Amino acid sequence: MEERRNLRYLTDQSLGGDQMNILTARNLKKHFGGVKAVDGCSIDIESGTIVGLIGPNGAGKTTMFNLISGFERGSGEITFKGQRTDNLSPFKIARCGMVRTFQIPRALTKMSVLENLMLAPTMQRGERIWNVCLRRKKVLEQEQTIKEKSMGILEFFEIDDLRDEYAGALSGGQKKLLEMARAIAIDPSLMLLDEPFSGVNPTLSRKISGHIDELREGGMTFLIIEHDIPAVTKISDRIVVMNEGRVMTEGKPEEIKRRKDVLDVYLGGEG
Amino acid sequence: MTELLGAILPYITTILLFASIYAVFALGLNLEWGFTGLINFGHVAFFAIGAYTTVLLNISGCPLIISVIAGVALAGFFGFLLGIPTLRLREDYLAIVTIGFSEVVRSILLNEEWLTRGPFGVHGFDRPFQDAVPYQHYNTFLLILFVAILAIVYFALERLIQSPWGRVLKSIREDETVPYALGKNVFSYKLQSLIIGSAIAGLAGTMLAFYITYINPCTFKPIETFYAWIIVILGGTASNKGTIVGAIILWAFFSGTKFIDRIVPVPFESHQMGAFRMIVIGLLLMLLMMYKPEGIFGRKEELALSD
Amino acid sequence: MQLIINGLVIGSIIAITAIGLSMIYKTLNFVNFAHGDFVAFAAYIAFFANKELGVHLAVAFLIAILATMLLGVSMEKVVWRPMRRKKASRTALIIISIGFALVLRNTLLFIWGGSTRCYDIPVRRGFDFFGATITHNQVLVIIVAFILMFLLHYLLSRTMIGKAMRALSDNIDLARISGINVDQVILWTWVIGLGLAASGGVLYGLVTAIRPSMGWYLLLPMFAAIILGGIGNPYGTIAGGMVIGLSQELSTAVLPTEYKFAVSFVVMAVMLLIKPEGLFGGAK
Repeated sequence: MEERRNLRYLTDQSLGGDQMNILTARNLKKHFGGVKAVDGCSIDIESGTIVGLIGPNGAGKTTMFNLISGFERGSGEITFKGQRTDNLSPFKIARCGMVRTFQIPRALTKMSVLENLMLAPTMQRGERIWNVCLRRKKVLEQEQTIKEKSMGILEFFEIDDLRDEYAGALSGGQKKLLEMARAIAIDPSLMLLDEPFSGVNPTLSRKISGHIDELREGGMTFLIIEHDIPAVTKISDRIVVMNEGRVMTEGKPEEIKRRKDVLDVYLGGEG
Repeated sequence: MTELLGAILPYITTILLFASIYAVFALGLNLEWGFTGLINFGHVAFFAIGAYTTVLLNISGCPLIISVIAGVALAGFFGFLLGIPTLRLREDYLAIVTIGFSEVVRSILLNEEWLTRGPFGVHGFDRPFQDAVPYQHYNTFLLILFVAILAIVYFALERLIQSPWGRVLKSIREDETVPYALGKNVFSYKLQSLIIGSAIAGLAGTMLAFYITYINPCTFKPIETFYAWIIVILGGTASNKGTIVGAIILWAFFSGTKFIDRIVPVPFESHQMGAFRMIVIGLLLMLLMMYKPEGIFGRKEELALSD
Repeated sequence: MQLIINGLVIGSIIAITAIGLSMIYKTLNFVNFAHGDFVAFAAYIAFFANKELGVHLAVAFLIAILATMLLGVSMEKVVWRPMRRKKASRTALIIISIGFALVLRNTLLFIWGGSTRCYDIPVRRGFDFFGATITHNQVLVIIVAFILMFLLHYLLSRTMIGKAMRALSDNIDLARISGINVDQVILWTWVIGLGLAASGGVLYGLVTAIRPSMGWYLLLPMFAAIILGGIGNPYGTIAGGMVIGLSQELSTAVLPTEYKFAVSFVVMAVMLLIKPEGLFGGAK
């Protein structure tokens, strides 16, 4: 119950505008030379849901992520919380409340776990140099709040005992948790998770889906790229299948699991 | 005993004076490289800009304190100008552009005689409190002043890097994609780091001018940049304390090699001594980076490199 | 006219020396700040063989190239390869290279002193060429430089090793999994890159004085050339070298000669601001 209370203030439920969709992407395209990595993709994400994005290798899932989070520029329209974001830099998109993780966790290895988390909150007073020089007291106050909040998140992910370890010393699974925890620390309304279950043992995998589920209960929205189909279908409300740079089909997990063409794409893609 | 002390004392004062100037100079680089991961190979340019601006303004009648502020500000401003085309690109572009910039600055100092008096250099400018302090004690006074400046710079930097601002810098050094994805304007932070680092170098330039009382373009050869590098790396990258110790070691080494021929016969001539010293610096830079990149006093974990 | 000829001569020297810098930059993904000092090293070896051992300059030329290649290969084996094994960061490699640059330059200074030197060759009067004077040495430089560029073109487009080198600079991981012996090819990249740099150094000694800092002053124009031409693009580098050489010389018509190399700095900074990938494409 303690955890649940922490969670309440971790999540931001206020949405701009009145629409149901927190994110809409229309006709996204990205070509690398002659290769059409993403070729006219549209996707809608309803607020407060978990959407799984699956597809064989090279289907364009990661490029799609990069386009949505601003790490790559392509063509098409992206609207997040009623605001066009397709021309914004990644850091501005993150400030709007959309955060992404990376397939290979990017721990800031020579900083402590706690520092990794305390970095995340946006618009900290102490990030402005004149505040550090002139308003030391206010900065320290806020620093204390951020610290407590970061500890709350670490407790939620059950890695609070590692707070003073250098992030570089963590195991692969712990780094995965840290990556998620750090993303949550910026209070996002939409999280893009790139393969949260890959290379993770079954126990940890169950734990991660538990965390995701709980955060969704708190109002957060998720878009998850995943190769581990059973894991992602279990937690998702909706599954989008991509193949060869296009959205092939989408629907409820149970429907997708029964679709034979999806299976074919996977077998064809892997083979 | 007192006689011996009397003979050694000025000598030690000299070492400490130079060490405190170069410690300030290298602290600027440590902010850029040690904490932000920026490779500045033209640090000396800001050293020169600070020194020249201060003394030129002063000899044309500007009060000393305003001259110093102008020198520091102009050095920072040039850091800003250089950062704009380079800091959005890969880290090596900054290295290339700054190394070029430092040579351009030096050739301007050499050739624009109307402004800089060319190769003859500048002297005859004021020194702080020169009328109030008796001449025979002036160096002692200067040492106290410089140590005070060093302490201020040190504590200001420590406060900065321990703040959330410093945390963002360190995260950029580790992996700039992370702060970028977390909503930090990475470019702006790199620029701030470069501006502050350059301004600190400008301040060090001013200190140098006050001590040696005569500056010319030869005072600011590219090699000065690498003195700062060796100081930072010796003392342990990303350790401000280490940087100060590194500066003392370097100047003790320099003074040592100046007088070594009085103790043991050295088989080469005086002009070769300079080259030999540089070979040692270069080798040290290579070997430290290869085998002990955390420096002599640095902690392995707090290190910007490897990985 | 005179300025154009001088520009072409310097431009072709910048071009052939910069190709090595560009290839190594792209293939090994780091900037070798010691590259200019390899150029100076070659000039000094040629001077040593020519003047102090008394061999013909053509022989000295070959000796210098071999010595430079040897130095480069030993550096690869002693420093760069072990550092790559340790997965050293790019910034660590850059700092090591600048350390080596200091060592190399000051070794030259230590042995031969700071005064300028020149080869033991007869001074001949130049001949008239549309109102400009062109010396035999300048003609020689241009001819040799063009032969070398042609050889490089042949090597890159026709031979196995050349193709492997290009594959490696395109994508080192892809090259590795497609069965190319990466270490071997990297070694060849050093050999060829430094061979060209050494030739450039010896030629440079023909048209200018030999000083320990000659390579240092060539470094900035070389950087400008490779940024202009697009990093890793040898043909772009040649074009970039020519552009830089010409603009340096032509600038002396309006600016004092002391600012020659500031021109390459300005060209470079402007280029980075508007089109960092180079005029002719290349790496990002």
